[in-house]
Amino acid sequence: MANSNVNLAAPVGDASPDSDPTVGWGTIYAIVLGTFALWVALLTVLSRAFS
Amino acid sequence: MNALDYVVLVGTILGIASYGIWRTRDRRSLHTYLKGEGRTRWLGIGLSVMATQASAVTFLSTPGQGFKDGLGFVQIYFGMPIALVIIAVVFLPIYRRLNVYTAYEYLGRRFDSKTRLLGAAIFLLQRGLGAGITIYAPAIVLSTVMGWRLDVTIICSGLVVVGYTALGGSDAVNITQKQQIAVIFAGMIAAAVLLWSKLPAELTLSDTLTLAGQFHKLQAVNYSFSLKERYTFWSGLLGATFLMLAYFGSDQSQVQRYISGASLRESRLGLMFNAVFKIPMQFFILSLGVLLFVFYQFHQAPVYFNQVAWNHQLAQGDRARLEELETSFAAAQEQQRQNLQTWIEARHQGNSQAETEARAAAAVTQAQIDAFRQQAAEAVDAKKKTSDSDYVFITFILNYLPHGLIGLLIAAFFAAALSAKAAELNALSTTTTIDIYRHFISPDAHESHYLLASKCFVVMWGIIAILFALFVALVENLIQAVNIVTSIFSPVVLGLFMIGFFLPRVGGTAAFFGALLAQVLVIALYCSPLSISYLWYNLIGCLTCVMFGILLYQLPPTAAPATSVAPTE
Repeated sequence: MANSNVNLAAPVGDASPDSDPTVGWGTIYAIVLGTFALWVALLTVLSRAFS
Repeated sequence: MNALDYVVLVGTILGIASYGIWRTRDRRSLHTYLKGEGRTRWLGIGLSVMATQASAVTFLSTPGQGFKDGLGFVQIYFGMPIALVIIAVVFLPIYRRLNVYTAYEYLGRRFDSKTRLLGAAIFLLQRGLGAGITIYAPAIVLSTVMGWRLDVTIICSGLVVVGYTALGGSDAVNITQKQQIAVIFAGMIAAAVLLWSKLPAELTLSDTLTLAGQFHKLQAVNYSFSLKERYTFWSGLLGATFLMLAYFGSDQSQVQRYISGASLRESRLGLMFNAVFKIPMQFFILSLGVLLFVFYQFHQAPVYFNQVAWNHQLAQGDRARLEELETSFAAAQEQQRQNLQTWIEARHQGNSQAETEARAAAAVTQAQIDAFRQQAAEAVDAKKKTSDSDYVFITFILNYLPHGLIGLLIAAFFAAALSAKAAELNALSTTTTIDIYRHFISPDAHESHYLLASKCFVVMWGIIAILFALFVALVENLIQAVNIVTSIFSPVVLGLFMIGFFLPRVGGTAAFFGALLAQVLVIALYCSPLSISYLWYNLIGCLTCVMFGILLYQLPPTAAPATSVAPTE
């Protein structure tokens, strides 16, 4: 199917050479999604408070 | 606009374009032309991705949408943080590992040539068809209110963007987008500050919010489960996640922006920048529209904001009825001002009964105002190409902002149009060169040949865009047709990528025919009497493509041809 020696499926973990293991991507993604959840909560409060 | 405004406008647009050409004057190889020098940091990537997505319509029409319908449109961006995290985790590492120029090269490596061609062809079809709209949409509004010739506006802005994109390539797009987005933000923030300063002095923040809420302008989140309502929390979270996945993950105009990062880390952070700041940015632009609504409660507004169309209608006949409509509208506005002054005074004095009565009176008067606006819209030619809400923000800018700032805001609208157009031209040229020309037509030519071909394809797509923009007005419903093409085709391409990433046993033939079947289903759904909001097509198209791929997976895979693009590892 895949004709290359490169893994063409979704990565398990991040083994790419330019990744930085000290960054903590899980934490960054959690912060991003947490910020999104806060925005939804804020906009919901805005909608309810001034309806 | 006076001479100062024109100096600011022309100086800003030509200055940014010249700077982009000068900075990229030494790009000589195909790689640096198509992907840049690979030194772009996360902020550059983030701003470039943001500038590509935000066209002039975002800044010109979205405040009008906020004015008319409130904050509800922000829900379409709820899928974006989720989609960008998925792209950062799954799509981006694969694109970088394969060192691809285009997203469709991945389809060729993973499946076969026909699937790669399908992905590239759908991209070229939808972006090529829509190529003129990015220029046409702001040009029609700006030329109308400024009294400029539409064809001259389209040709001038088109030639500027074709010039610096063809000469400088991907890095020129990145570099100019940073300057352009700075101009856009400076203009929008200045307009917001001046708008706020022009609200009545006695109106507090709490009064402003209560007043906007009274007229349902702060309904940002709608938790309804109805499939027919266009913008709900659920369509935003589920449908728009797939829309954003398709756009950011498989549309070359975006993929080309973030794969040019200095490293995987920089590209990922650039995407996360957008995941964090896009919702606040759209909230800010829509809030500007809500503030405009409050502003026009206290200042005289025209019954129809597109005054050129309105005056044309007055000259066409039925003048007496339209002037009567204007008089009735002005009287209703005056009545509304009195209602709201009474309401503010009652509110500040703590007189709740008077406040309730004033609010009830204001609601009745607002219904009359809305009815007058509706009558005015019906009186003006129903075939017009733009909505009157597109003219709300530009009318405020021209009537209430100081000279110099007017020029800056008009420059901001053009900057937004050029930044989105440049990324599109860059992507169309790259896909045509790499996925079509080099792969199928001329596979063994020298690199300098492909570099020249890329530049020629930028010019070719630029000419197509300009011609499309010039003649779009002659073809009824063409813009609508292009929007439909985009919303029903791109989810199936996303489905191909999903099969490629997550279903390693499904081969090229199964994926290809699965995609075709899913496409037929989505088109049938669109043609059916079920009036489903278009956001749901993204989820349905992608999931049915994956499902058909699974059902057909026993079909033998087609051997993928060897490709001349070497992987990095």
